[in-house]
Amino acid sequence: MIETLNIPRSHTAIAEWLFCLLFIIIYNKRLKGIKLYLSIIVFLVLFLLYQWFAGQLPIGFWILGMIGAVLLMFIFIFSMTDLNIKTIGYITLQAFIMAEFAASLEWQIYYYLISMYPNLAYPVLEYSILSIIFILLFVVFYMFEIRYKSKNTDLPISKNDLMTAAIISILVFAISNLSFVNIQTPITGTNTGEIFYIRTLVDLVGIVLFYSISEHKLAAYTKMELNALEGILNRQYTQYKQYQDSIDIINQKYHDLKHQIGIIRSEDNSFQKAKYLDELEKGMNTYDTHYKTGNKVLDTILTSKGLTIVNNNINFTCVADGSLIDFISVMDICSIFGNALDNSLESVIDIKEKDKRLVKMAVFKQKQLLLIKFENYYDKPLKYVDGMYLTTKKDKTIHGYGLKSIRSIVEKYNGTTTINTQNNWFTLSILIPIP
Amino acid sequence: MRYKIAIVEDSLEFSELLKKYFEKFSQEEQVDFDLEFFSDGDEVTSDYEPKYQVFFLDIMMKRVNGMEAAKIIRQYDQDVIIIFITNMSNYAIEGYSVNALGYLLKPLSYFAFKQELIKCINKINSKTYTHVLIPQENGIVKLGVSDILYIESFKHMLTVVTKDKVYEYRGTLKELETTINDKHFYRSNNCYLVNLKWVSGVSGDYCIVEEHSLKISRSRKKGFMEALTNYIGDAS
Repeated sequence: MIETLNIPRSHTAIAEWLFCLLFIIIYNKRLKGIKLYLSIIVFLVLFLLYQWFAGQLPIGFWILGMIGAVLLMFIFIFSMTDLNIKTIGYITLQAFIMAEFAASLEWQIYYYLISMYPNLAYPVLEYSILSIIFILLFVVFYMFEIRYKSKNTDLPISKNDLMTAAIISILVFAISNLSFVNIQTPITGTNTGEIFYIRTLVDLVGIVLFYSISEHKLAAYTKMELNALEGILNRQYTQYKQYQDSIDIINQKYHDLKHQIGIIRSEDNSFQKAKYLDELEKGMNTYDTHYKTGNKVLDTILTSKGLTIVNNNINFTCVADGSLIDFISVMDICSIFGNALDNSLESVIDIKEKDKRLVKMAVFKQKQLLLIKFENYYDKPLKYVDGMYLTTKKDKTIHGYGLKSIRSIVEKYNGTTTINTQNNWFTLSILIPIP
Repeated sequence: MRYKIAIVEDSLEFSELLKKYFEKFSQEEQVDFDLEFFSDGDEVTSDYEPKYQVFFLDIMMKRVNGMEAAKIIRQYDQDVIIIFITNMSNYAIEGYSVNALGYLLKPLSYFAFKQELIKCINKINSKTYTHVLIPQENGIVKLGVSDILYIESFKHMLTVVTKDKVYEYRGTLKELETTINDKHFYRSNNCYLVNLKWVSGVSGDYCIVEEHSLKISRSRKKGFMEALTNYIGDAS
């Protein structure tokens, strides 16, 4: 192990602290003002102390020391942000590789300069190179991260993402440090400059890998957004077609009505007359599917489902205070209500007995909490896969996706989604604190 | 237990149908009902007595319509379950204003009726009126569980907070949790047991209970929010 000329512990500490700070600046929500600055400084001291302590340990504890450092970074980010554990794990690893790269690069440059001009070996040079490189990299990485944040890629970090990040980090860390252990392999270097160069290069590869994941996620998000938009366009088109169908039905009804009025007029028996009128009224009600909830988007969605409801004899009841959902964006209302209603309606259409096609919807509030509830009766057992209910329909991916997208939209509004199945009723409840 | 049901419906034909449905349900499920029939809203609102558990209210009535009647009933009775009957969906959509989130559509099938009635009965039965006994210096206080806002635990001392009083005594949350044994309570963190009934909002890591802001710990946040969602969803 070449220890004499390796990166000083204090440099590593500063790098680790700095790149955690980068993510904390972007995602900070917990602390403000003096408390924030104090905690940041306290953590810098902690990082320096930790690295000093780790430096005292015998070389056999080196790996353990590194794990401890990553743990400290995790704690730093955990205590200063509101992110979930998986996301924190992911960005800790990313920050760790960034720190490794930054420290490695600045030390390589410093080492190169002092080996060329040995009389320059002063702390001033050491720390100015450190400052320049760290600040430069900080700005570059910050710009990348802020770009992802501004695109609002709310794609959650999955278990797989975290695994990938862990594998990348372990590989990068292992390969970049292989040369420091005195063994001969095809991928290790022998002279110090070479060793430093390999380390910097491998760390750079790690960073490129992390950003390729981010870019991939960004692309996936853009595509998803496009799909959602396309879905809305499609929905508008179907709605338009349904209006046309409705107009045809109305025209036909108009003719029937004229005919029926003629019959009623010619009827002398008042009891019969009343009976005809009742029937007439019943017939008209079926086609009256105009909903006025107080929210235009919700009204449109409900009306667009009206024909499906009538044509399939679905018993659909809905109690809704639409004014409560004004704070939710149009696209999100479409996704939540469109998806949930489609799920429920499609599920009951499969029931043979028409009496059992029951669907209920409610939108109401309890004090400052908004509750949206969809319920439908089911008669076949439901499948539950990977935390998601799938209907017994063939097109499972779309349904799973529907619930998934509802869940992620609701999380965006700090809400919670629960699913219950009891007594043959499927219930999807959404709770969102009213801002 | 006999359930007391009021049916307010101006169509004799439909009242007869409902009566038949109730009789069928009684036979099938071995549940007894006391049915009382009214033919217009003003018959129940003129001198309202809160003695019923469920109201079936036709929306379209001549003198006092269902929605108006429901508003008057709610002034006197917060607990009674109100179910509207209507032939037009549009008329019941505002049911939320009188906390009536279920309604029946005419023509009414027995199946739809039965499902709604089962929900009603489950809701009535879930309203448990349990009590806790709290030792105080001058005796033991009997406290209705639903009146408790939350309970705080600090160094073996419990603080039971109700709307207008605070009681302190030695004990642990764990013991109390087993005696309450109520799904309407949830631990928001190590020291608070919160009555979900009184939660009026959630802001960041805090839940609002009347004028109190109680911290929700990070590890319990998901469970707490889910319990709250299910509680409000079921209570409606």
